Amino acid sequence: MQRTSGITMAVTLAASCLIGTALAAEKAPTKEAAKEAAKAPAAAVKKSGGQQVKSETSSAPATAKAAKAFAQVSAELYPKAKQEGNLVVYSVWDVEHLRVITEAFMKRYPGIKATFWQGRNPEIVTRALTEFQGGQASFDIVLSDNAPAVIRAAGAIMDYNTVQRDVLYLHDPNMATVSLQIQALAYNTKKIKPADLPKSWEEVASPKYKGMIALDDPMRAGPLSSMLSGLKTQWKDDARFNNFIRNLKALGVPVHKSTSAMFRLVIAGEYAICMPALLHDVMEEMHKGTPVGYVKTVPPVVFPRQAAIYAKAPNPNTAKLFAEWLISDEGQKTTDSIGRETSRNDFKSKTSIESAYGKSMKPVPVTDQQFLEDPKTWLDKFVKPIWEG
Amino acid sequence: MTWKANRLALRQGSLFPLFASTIAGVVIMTPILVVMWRSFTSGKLGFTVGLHFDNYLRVFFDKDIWPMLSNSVIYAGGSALLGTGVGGLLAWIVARTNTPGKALVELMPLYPLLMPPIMKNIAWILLLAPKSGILNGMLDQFLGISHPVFNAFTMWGMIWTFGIACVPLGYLFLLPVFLSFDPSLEESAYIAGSRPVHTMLHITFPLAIPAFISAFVLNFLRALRSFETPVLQGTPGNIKVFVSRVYDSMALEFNTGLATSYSVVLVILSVITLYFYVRATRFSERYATITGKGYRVRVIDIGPWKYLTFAAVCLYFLVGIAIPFVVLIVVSIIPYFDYETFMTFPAHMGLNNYRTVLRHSSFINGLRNSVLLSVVIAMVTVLAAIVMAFTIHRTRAVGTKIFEFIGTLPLAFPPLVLSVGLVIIFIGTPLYNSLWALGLGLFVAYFPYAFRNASGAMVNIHKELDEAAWVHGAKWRHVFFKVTLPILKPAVGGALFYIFIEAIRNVDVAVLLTAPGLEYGPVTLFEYFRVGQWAEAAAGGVIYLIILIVAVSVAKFAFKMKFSL
Amino acid sequence: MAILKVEGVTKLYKDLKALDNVSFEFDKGILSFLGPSGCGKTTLLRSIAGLEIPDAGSISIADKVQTSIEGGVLIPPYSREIGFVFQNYALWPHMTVFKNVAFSLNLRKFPTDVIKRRVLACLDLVGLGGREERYPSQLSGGQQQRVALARSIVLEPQLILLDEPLSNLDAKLREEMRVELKKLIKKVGISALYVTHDQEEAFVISDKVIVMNGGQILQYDAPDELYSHPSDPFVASFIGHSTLVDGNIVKAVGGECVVQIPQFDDATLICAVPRNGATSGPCSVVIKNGDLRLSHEKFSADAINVLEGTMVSRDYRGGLTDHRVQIGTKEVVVTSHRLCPMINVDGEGGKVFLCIDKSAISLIPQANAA
Repeated sequence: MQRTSGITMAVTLAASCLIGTALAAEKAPTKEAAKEAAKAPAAAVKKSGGQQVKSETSSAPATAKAAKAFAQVSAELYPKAKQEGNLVVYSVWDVEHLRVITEAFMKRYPGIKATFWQGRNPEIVTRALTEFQGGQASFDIVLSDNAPAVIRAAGAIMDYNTVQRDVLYLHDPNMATVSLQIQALAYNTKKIKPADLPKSWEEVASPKYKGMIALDDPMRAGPLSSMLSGLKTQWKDDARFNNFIRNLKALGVPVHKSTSAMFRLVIAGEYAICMPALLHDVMEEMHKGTPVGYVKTVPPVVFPRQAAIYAKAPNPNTAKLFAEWLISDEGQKTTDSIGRETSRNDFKSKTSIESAYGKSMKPVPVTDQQFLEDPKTWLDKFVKPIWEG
Repeated sequence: MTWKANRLALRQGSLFPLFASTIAGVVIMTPILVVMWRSFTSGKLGFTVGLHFDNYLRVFFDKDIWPMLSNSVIYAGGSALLGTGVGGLLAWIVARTNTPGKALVELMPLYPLLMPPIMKNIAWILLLAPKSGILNGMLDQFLGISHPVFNAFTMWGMIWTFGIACVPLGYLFLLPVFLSFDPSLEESAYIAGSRPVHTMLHITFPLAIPAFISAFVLNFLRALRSFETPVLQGTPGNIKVFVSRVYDSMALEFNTGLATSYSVVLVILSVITLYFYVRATRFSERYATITGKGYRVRVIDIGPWKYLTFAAVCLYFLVGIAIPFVVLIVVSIIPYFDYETFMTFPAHMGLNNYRTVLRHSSFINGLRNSVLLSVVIAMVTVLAAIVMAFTIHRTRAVGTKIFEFIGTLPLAFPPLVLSVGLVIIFIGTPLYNSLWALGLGLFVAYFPYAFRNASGAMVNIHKELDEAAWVHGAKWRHVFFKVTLPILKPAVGGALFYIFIEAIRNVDVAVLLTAPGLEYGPVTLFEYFRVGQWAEAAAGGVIYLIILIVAVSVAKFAFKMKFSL
Repeated sequence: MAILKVEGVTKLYKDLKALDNVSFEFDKGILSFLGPSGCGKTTLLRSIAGLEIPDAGSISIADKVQTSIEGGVLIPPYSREIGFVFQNYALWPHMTVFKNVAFSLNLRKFPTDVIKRRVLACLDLVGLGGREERYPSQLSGGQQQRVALARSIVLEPQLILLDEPLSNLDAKLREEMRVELKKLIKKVGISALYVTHDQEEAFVISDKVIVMNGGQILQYDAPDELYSHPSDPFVASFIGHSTLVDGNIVKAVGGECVVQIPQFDDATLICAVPRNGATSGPCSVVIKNGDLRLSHEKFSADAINVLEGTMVSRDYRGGLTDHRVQIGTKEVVVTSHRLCPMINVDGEGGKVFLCIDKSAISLIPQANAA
């Protein structure tokens, strides 16, 4: 902004550049992209290890082993990272959360300057893939929920298997799972008595709750669709799955496209039951004394939030270090401090499954690679025919 | 004119404006053409796959889009009509009547502009939700009407919320027309026996048609493509509008090509509306209210009706900003929102949400960048837009009507699609990730507002004023800077103010063009709205609004700055 | 040196010919373009100013080619060194009277003191001294008109163009202004082109008048010539104060001829032969209303061109009175001073005699009219 004085001239200049580069820019990636197009299917075929679930709390030796592995990889990566000197994070997380995390990381590893850019998932995917096709070494790591799998399916992710994999609740051998998104069945305690609450996800579709349910749109890449994907994997029973969707549809209730707006309306008393809400939102409200609760007997749906390293990352070692650090004890504490769910099964926090649901709870993990990589196709195949048919 | 005469004509004061307009046109069209091209050549996730028409086939064989489109037209047409109509009426009240409290009345219709649309959505949902809405709750509690009267999740609810948000634009566009109105035009009607209301409908308003259509087209397109109201109010009411297709193609499929193809439907709609505009203003002399005949701008004494008009302005101020604002303030200081808790106010007050927001260091840091950029962008955009309008209405170059379409086109595309176009253009150049790219993105996104404003206003100025300068020795630049621009001042002021306010809170266009590490105000400012934490959002919004309201009021009263008058 | 030369100027609006091959030359003084609305007079004026671009033809001011479509010359309006007074004054509402007038001087970068001197002198000339700091909206219509005039002459151009400058003023002011305007233009010593649809205004103001209709020049003459010898029935009727009938030249002796008029029950009139010397054939007969004598008694035997008619009505017009007299199938208007003793006619419907002086008649052969 120091150069505002010449802005008119520069705009004119930019305009003339624009005309020239417009075509050039279109051409350049065309060649590149032709190669990528050939590569892209290969990337999609590239066998993903898939999500591995390890819900039981790791033993103390496993925790110690992970700590040792982290210490080792940290010592190994830090000098290289210091040489790289920079880290650029693309993330969907709140700016303030990102600020806390990057500052903690920079404090732990002096000599590295971490910057971030924040956008929503479609924006992250669009930006990352446009830069990838343009051959830009523009960022190092994506930190998000939906975006990493999609970007990886497009071939723009450098596979990295974390050394601390043994303590992760959900593990993907190609991308480090640094946090979790946990969905709970939440309700307004003023509007419904605990005895009347549904006992399972399936019971929510019971006709008696008609008019009480706030339902997320199952045809968007949102919490309900990922729940459906998780349940489908868990049930391995297509008839039961189809019936569930059919019953949800039979409720005839309006759907919501904004998870948080829906949750606010449940708090306001517009609806009694939130299908579903994010556990950390519910916990935070309960902490404030808001009349909401969650059904402790309904298994939570667990969705991975990953840190995925960009295929053309200019600072790959720093990116790896950052991913490992996020899983380390210190990283997880930082994540917890900003109210995000942690990804380790041996990490105790308010929002961990163990403390929220008890030791014996078996959650519903979302592990369907097809759903994660291309939600649209998955929904068109399994949900749309019943939901819209 | 013959070809030969045409060519001679072009050399006279048309070349530079034409050249400048062409550059502005190219700047606007390039990102649009790039995304259009890509909608034919790219496939899943934006990968280039060679020429194909799949995206368009999907759009035109999408049998679901017709009901959606008709919903969209009702919603957008309704809110644009409500907004522009009420805006026009307020402008008439302020400019042409002796309504008391001039200084305040002038400014009251503008304050709602300061409140971002999403804040209004949330406030109106809190007010009008069928079961939990404050108004329905009050009706139940005080009047015993238990059946919900209001419902935010209906077409009417959507039209209400967005229409109310459309009013300031209509007001800003029509105010200059009424302010510069030659009273003899109205007086001759009175003498002919026409009553004030009749005169208003048959003389005053028809002359404001170009500005009215200009504002209507803008509001219509804004409503067609904005996501907030359809997502927050439409989906829960099972009202499917067209823009959700555009939204889904980005949010679910990450396919900007498909989103572009769907946008083409909006382009067609805007071309149709603009066609009517161009036709209506063909004989621009008909609408010239600013003639070279000097006249005193006199207001009409409407007698005791002036208290009614005053009440009308206050009423709009109440629904436009005061009521939603109060609701948000209360929401931001009560522990949680439901009707009972809301009504217990001011018990259980707490300022926790404000503490949370103010702890954000980036909250204020980012503001500096966006304020500076918004000021510059508002000025550059308005200047370029006036040059383009000048080219259309004042030069002899043939075929300049095309600029009417080009200048409005960016409004037909979702901001994300536009910014993808710019990203593709700039990627790999030093401009990528620079403030220049961001500035250019804002320029493209806000050009239509400035342009429609300038074009509508210029039609109201009689050509003779320019010609008088011309024959007395003024070259085009003298005509432009010494005559056109000063006479357009009220309209220019309004456009500057509008674009500044809009640009300062822009997130949609800016997000892809913001460099990592750049603290850009709005992105942090509206964080909470995006993540949907309403209480914190309300707190942030309240702080933001207070800053703006104080700034605008101080500017208005202390420095006598004129935004529109 | 001709101040203005127009050759073959044609201007089309779609299919309509606004100007149809118009050519004329003008030396100096004041020239009026007179005609009904839509006759092309304003288009012609604007073409001369360069505000309209003709489709063909050329225009020179002071022997300098300004527009030549064939020659590829088109001097822009701002370089034509002319003044222009618009119908609606076209004063810039955001500028004071001083700034309005000083506009063209400012553009030409005259020194401030020169500008001040010339503007004030000019405002004095038009009678607006002391009002230079007012805004146009604070002036009356007549004063605005003067500002517009001052603005057009401040640069002392060789030619100023006035487009119906008085049409927005009330009748009384208009009569005052046109005399004043003429004096002023003569005093400054510049030439002027003056567009009007009011023949009286044209006659008062101009040295020469061009009567136009349908994009063509019908007659280009001095006002008195135009009045006494209209070369076209349209000109005669437009100028007015005359009665137009069809006639037929039956005989010609010396400089005089006999015209038979079917509408007057085939009565004959004796008058001078038409200017083109035609001695036979159909023609239009123009009878000047003001040059007729009216009586209830027969005129003396040696009086010629005496017709008998019936009084239809009498319209009092202040200084003048119009008498409508039915002769044959035609109504003839006789305009006379109120006190004229010869026309003490009581009431209407009475029998009257009309004597048409030879000089009151002019003939326009039909061939001319075609």
